[in-house]
Amino acid sequence: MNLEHELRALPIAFPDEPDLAPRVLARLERPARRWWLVPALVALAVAGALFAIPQTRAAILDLFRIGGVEVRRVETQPRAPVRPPLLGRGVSLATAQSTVDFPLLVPRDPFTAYVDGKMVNLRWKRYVLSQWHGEQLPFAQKQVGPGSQTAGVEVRGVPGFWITGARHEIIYRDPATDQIVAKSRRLAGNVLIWEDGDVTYRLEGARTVADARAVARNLKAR
Amino acid sequence: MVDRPLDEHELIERAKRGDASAYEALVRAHQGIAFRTAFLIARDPSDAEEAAQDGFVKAYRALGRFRRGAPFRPWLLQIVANEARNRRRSAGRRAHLALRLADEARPGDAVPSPEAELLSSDRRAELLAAVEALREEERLVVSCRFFLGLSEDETAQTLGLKLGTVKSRTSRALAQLRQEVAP
Repeated sequence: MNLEHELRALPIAFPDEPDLAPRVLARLERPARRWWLVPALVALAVAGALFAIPQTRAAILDLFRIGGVEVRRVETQPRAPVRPPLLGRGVSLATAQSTVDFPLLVPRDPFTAYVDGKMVNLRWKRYVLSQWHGEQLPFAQKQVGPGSQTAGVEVRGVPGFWITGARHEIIYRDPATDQIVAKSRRLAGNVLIWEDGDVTYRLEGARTVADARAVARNLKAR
Repeated sequence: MVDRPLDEHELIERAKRGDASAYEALVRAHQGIAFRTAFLIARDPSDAEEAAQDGFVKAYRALGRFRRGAPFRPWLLQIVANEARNRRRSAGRRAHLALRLADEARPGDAVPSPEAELLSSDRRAELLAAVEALREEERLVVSCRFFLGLSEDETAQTLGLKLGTVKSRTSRALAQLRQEVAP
């Protein structure tokens, strides 16, 4: 037996291992958002609906809808922690494709596929491309603060929007449960959104609209 | 082991979203190695227990910074090791426990003849004493690699060292152990 094997075979007497799990769990901050965030988001959605009635329409500087995303310009920036987008479960491309009923658009560069409900997210370089059946997420909202700008642009031959400036928030309703859920909450920087048929595409990570449109143009259908 | 990373990444993603039961599964999966890592550094069972417990709580709060797809175990152990080091420092001059050999053979070991057993237990005691006599920085690397079974990469991350440092300390330590103990 060589020395390394002998060392590995040494029966070290460690003290009995304590069961840490109950005490660790007791000390974790309760995941409060599980009970307050859903009602809070529902309230936010209701507030969004109120904005749409004529008396309060003045509060809204801008509103438009594209595919499953509703873009609202509101007067105060939503407060949410800046965190990387939650992309869902890492899956193979075949699995990602099997969760949606339209051919996915994929980049020519190597990418990683994630599935979040009925939404497919592809990540490569600094980009994330989300694609989903717009009808399946009819209540998605995008709230755009005053620091943001939106501009209509042409993307792959169809109309789209380029949203820049301050970070903005998107709230999705999970079509499976018809509830607005925490995992669907994200913040993003610059985003290009377009709709083709009833599929909505959302590209984040591009620094300029030219870059975003070029990335979109280079996507290929599976 | 092949399917563990997938399960674990799923658990981590759930824990990031505030799912405490997913984090509980992660704690249960790693509490043994976390406690032993802390013990090897702190050399005191209650300090080790506190260090491991605090490490798990801090790791939970830091999950947002955990890079998706990265190995969880060494990331966690690094946090636990830091906690253990802090405790060891604050323990000051208090005597630290020496490592001991377990009395009985571990389950699954072949039953040796009494003579071989005697020889081998002498040999084991000699080897452990030689490890304990190593300089702290080499002893820790040897302990992580051979007593905890961590890879070189995991040892580097756990102890906050460069991979090259782990390799050089390991080979220095092995060379010294070869001199100390009869072949």
